[in-house]
Amino acid sequence: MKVDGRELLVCDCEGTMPLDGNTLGKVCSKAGMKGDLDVASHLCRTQVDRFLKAIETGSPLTVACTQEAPLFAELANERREGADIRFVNIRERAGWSAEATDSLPKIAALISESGFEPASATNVTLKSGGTTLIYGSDSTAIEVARKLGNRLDVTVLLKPGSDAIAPSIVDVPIFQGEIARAAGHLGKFEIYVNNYAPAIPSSRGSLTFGAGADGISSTCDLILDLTGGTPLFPAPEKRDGYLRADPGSDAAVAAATFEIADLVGEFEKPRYVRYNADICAHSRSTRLGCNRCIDVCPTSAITGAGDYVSIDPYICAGCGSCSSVCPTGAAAYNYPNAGDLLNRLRTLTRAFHDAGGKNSVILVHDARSGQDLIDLAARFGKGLPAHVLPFAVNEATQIGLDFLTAAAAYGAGDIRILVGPRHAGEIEGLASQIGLAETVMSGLGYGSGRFGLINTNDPDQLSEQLYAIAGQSGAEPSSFMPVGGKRSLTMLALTHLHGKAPTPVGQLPLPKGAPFGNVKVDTDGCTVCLSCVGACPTGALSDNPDFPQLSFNESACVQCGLCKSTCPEQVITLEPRINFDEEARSSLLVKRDEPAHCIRCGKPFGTMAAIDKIAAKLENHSMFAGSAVDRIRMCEDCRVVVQFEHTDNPFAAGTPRTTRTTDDYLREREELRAQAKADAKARGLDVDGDSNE
Amino acid sequence: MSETAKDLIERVRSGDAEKVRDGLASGCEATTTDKWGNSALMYAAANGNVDICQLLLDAGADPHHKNQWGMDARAWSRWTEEQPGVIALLR
Repeated sequence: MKVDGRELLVCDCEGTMPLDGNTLGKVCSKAGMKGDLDVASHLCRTQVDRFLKAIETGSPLTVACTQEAPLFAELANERREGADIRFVNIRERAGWSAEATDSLPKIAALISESGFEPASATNVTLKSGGTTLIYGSDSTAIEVARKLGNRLDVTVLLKPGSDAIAPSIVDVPIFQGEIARAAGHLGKFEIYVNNYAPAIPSSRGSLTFGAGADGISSTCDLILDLTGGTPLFPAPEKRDGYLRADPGSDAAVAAATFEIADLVGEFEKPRYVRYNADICAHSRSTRLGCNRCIDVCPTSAITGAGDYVSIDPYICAGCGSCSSVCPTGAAAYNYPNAGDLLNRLRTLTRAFHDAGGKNSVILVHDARSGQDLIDLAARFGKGLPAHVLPFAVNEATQIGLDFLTAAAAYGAGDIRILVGPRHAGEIEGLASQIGLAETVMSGLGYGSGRFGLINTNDPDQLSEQLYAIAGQSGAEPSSFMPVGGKRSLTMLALTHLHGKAPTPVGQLPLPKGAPFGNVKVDTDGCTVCLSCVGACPTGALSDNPDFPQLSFNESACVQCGLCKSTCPEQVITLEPRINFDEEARSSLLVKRDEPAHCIRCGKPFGTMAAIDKIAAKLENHSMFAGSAVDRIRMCEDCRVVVQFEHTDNPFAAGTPRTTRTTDDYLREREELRAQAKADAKARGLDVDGDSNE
Repeated sequence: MSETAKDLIERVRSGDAEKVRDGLASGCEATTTDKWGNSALMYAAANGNVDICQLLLDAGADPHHKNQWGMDARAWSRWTEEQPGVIALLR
């Protein structure tokens, strides 16, 4: 059998999965696979010849087994270097289940999904030279430092008041100090230390130190925190290069020591989030708009940077909360990107549906602890129900409204997101997205409870909660291709859900803070000053270069509130909602005003409403008494001209004196001479010097 | 400024030739001015509304009327790209 042009090998793992080749083959055929399916029982051992034969054909291969993937990969490499081979887990995710016999559509779907390969993300490189700070409060720090001394360039910093015993041989530098602030990441930590002092060599019992100095800064590649106190960073377990261990736990200290010893060299790390400042709604002109990503980032990798935000890829741990809550898609998860993720989801749900599956539940989980929990549930419990489709992502917290609505639009009846204790304090953003999706679905008549979190690290609890889902039919599945940004993807899904909704509504009210909505403008008070247009980061509010005019496109509005906080007339209010009407997708006229013409020269220089309002406010002001208020209605040039021409004001200077030049002087002198000569002649005087003749 | 003058100037500023035609038909004087001596024709000239200029001139507007600062419709027409068309009418 072939799936997406790849030869498919399925094994029932020594009969532990009730897989009948004919039946599964038929189900897989419905999901678009071609050919006959022969299910092996011992593919990794006695029937390995089937695998080898498939490899020899040279065609790409999909093997429905992940446990023995290393063995298959090794065998494949021996036969044919660079063999194209993929593995898919159908055992713990489907075949090892109390509902295994009903899981064939799910198995078909999982096999189909395995054919999808996302584009890889770019990486950043972290370089560590091994310069290590061991921060402690007792002798443990010194002991660990001496153990690591051969591998790393170690310095010990002991908190003031520590009772560490002075070592007989000081083979690592020891200082006292309290870290007041720390920043950075693996390979580039910066610390600021107060009460900093070197150890006194003559320390006899406990270590003693000299006078402390404050505000000392230093850098290092790695930090091992053995103080057992407050961590130096938020979400400390996510900070690469920063390790903590309780000094009272020998095992924890040993594990941290073992781990940090290897952190020398260059390390690749995915650039988890792609940021597009052009559509970021963080701030405009120092006014704060959207702060969602900064609020939810557990590692403080995101900071405000003027009108935009800055995401430090070296600190970012890839939880994806920022992209989950970002209303515009400016912060977009890139591991993989939303398009690839939804494409995979589309493939999974379509194949399940085509293979005859019903009432699917999408179980989103991370690929590490979430997968481990599913494995444990399958090995020691009931496994996953037949209609629960596990969907692995890098981090469960990366899921946003676009994914949730797309899953519903692709026909999923329920969506559950598996998180665990390690996500504590990180699910605020995810919970808000689930709440929003719930509001949308219940508002459209699909009922409530379709989206939810499963917060556990107990495999039995996981199974119990999944088996408790009754399973409800979803919307008629859409087949839209997930192309575009987050917002357009969400709108595609919402439009489909609205079109198939049991009780479609034109406008669906949303709670405050939702990233969709209307901007209501009190047009009587609006002066069409267009400050809101300048502030709007998404182009939802727009002007007309040829005329004083304000327009609004609701589909682009993310309710950041920048327009509201910028409006000088305070005539804007936000109305969170989803408007399904066609007109919400186009730019609609909010207010059009006439240009104000300068009353002197006719130059258009503002809007009538704005000029009338200013003139009305100033007409009783002493500086604008009488006709002076008319200057408000003049353009900037005429205002100055009239000011100078007016006789009753401090600037009045009358007609300016004509500038006289040397030519003027000479001309006037000649004129005077000529006049004098004429006068002399008139009196009969000889002025030409003829008398000398 | 009389109500009829204000009414006519508002119609001219709206740029709607039909409204101006109706205003003139209902008795608005084409020669009326606002409190600063600006005529409806000057506003039409500033907006580059050639049709409206023609309507007002046909109704008796003075093409050479000046406001209190000595500016006329020709001077006001310099703010529009339609200036040549407007000036051609004002000769």
